[in-house]
Amino acid sequence: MDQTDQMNQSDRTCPGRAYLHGSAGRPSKFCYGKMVFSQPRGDAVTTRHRSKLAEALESCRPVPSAKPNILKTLLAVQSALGHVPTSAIPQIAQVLGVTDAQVAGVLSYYSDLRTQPPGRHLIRVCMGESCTANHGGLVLRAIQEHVRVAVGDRTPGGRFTVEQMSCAGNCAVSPTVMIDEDLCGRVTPSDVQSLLEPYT
Amino acid sequence: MKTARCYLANDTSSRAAGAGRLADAWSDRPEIQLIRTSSRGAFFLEPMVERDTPNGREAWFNVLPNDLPRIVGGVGGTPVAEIPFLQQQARFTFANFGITEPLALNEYQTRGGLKGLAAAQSLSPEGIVEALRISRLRGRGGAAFPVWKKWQVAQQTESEQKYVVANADEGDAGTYCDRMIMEGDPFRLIEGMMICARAIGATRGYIYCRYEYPAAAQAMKFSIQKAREADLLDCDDYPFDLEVVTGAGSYVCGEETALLESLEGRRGVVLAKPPYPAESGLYGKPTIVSNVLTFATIPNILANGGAWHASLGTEGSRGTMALQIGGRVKQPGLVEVPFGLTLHDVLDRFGGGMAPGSRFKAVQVGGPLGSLFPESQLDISICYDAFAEAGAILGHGGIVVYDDETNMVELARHFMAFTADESCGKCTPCRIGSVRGREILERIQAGEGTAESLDLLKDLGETMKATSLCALGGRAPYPVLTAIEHFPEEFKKGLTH
Repeated sequence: MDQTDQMNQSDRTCPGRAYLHGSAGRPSKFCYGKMVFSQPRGDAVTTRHRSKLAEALESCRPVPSAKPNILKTLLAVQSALGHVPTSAIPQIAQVLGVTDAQVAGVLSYYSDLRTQPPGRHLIRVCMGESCTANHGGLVLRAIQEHVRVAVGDRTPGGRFTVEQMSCAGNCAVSPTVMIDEDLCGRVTPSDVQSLLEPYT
Repeated sequence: MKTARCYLANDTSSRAAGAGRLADAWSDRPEIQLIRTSSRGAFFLEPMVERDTPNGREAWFNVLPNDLPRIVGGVGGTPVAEIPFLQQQARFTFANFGITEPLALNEYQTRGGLKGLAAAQSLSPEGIVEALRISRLRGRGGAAFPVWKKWQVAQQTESEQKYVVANADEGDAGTYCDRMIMEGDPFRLIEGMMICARAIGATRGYIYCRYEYPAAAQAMKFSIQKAREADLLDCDDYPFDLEVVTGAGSYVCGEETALLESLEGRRGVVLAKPPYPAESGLYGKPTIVSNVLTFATIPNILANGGAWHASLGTEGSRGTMALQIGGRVKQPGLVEVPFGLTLHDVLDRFGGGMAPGSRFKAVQVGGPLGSLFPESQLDISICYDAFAEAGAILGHGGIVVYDDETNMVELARHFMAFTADESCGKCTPCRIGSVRGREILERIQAGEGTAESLDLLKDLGETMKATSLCALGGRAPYPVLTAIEHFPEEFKKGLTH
């Protein structure tokens, strides 16, 4: 398990609002709601993302007289980077001409904006009513047992992140599992292994 | 060799049922030419392959790749016109589904598309609103507000800039008709929005599409570009342009004021009304926010006249409704019928009864905020008035059936947890009450409830109903309270005596 995964594991246990002091040289961080703020984990992350971030921000820079759109900008950043690093908040705020708090507020509000990089493949299991009625819960359990990870976490090695979703709008062919942008319907627990195989 | 011209749906749910695998498997087969259409909504039959015959189309159901010889040979097909699930519907808004290629503007026109817009062009803005008044169309998103009243307010409010916004944040679990419209008949939504723009004097429109619908957003972007290139959007020198904006996973953004906040890029927090968006909405300008299904209903009303629409349905609920049947039924799918059928009729005639091996326990109508109905209450008429009288909602037309394996305490906890997750935080009773409600239910689940637990839950529910600004807090107690009302013994099991 690499350090990033360890951090993900401990993030999950964060209470609503608490300060956590990392052990053994891990940076200290605090979390608010679902969002975890942490110090940048060294330059490796920021260097890799810097040019993509700048590019994404440039495309969202408001023209004079236009109002800045924080959500649109964060979606563009996420689309370019795969997530929105909290270390990028000041830069985003500066480009948009808004406060850091306004950016952080929008970032923490929307559940599809993520501050941690997801695994190479994102598995989202629908927990909508139709999927639940058709035993989607058993599918979720089978997936968790297969990839051995808790909901919201990334597998060691970073192959998968497993999440729940409220409704995929695929209710007539439920239960539904969404892997990246592929939607699979009528999934049973015994389908799980073959379903995940192509995603390496 | 003669090539068989066949049709296969390309919408998200059909692909999820295996349509994509079929198309891949047959991509290099010379004996078949596959046209990718929208889905007819009979999802229990998908993937369904249709083929032209001298007597109209024939269909093969739940097709696997090795069924190709049967289809090419014309063996074992069913005439589409004889499929009972489709036969018994009244398809107007969904008339093109399963027939046309969704992104072909010429096909849309050939099938009667843009006639509503042409009719609107011959009317004054007041004339368009009058047609809607006569039609007695009510908003299909859930609130069921008379559409013409909203449009009249926006029309009469003076402003140099007005907006029209399609609410495509279809968050109610169990509903998918907006997704089907955007993927399957996108020009119908564009036409409806153009008619609205002319009626109120808007020059700019937005489609606020949820993050979970990437294919729908893509289809809308493509269709808007096509309409733009065909000079459709600003025909008659009426300047109008449309843009697709994506949400980021917030249920409450389906509420119009929260949606507009989100459209401006902020947290999707609900605002107090008045002012209503029709007077002061996006960037403080008059804005019509309507559901995708509402806009898609409008072209037919203008083309056929308001009186035509008013002739369908019941006294307080005119026209047709797209009901989306899901859960433990044999035949899940989308059904367009005039208002007035009973819930029992819909489940029986279209749902086809329960899925094999399961027994009925309850049905929920209207998404995660909708009430639960036990078997004894299925004779309720599907219309706004009957549902209002029963303290229930028709919402966006989602119908989810639960079987006898369903644990009602767990289901009630699921609803409270959903509200706790999705509350925007503006109103304390919703923000805190949903968390307390979930905790009470978790205690009952653990067998640690007390004699007061259920009274406390009811009291909490009444407080949330009375003191929340929007339907999330105001309606969240209904599924929980109706679960307790109809299945009290399950809750009492978790109480210590």
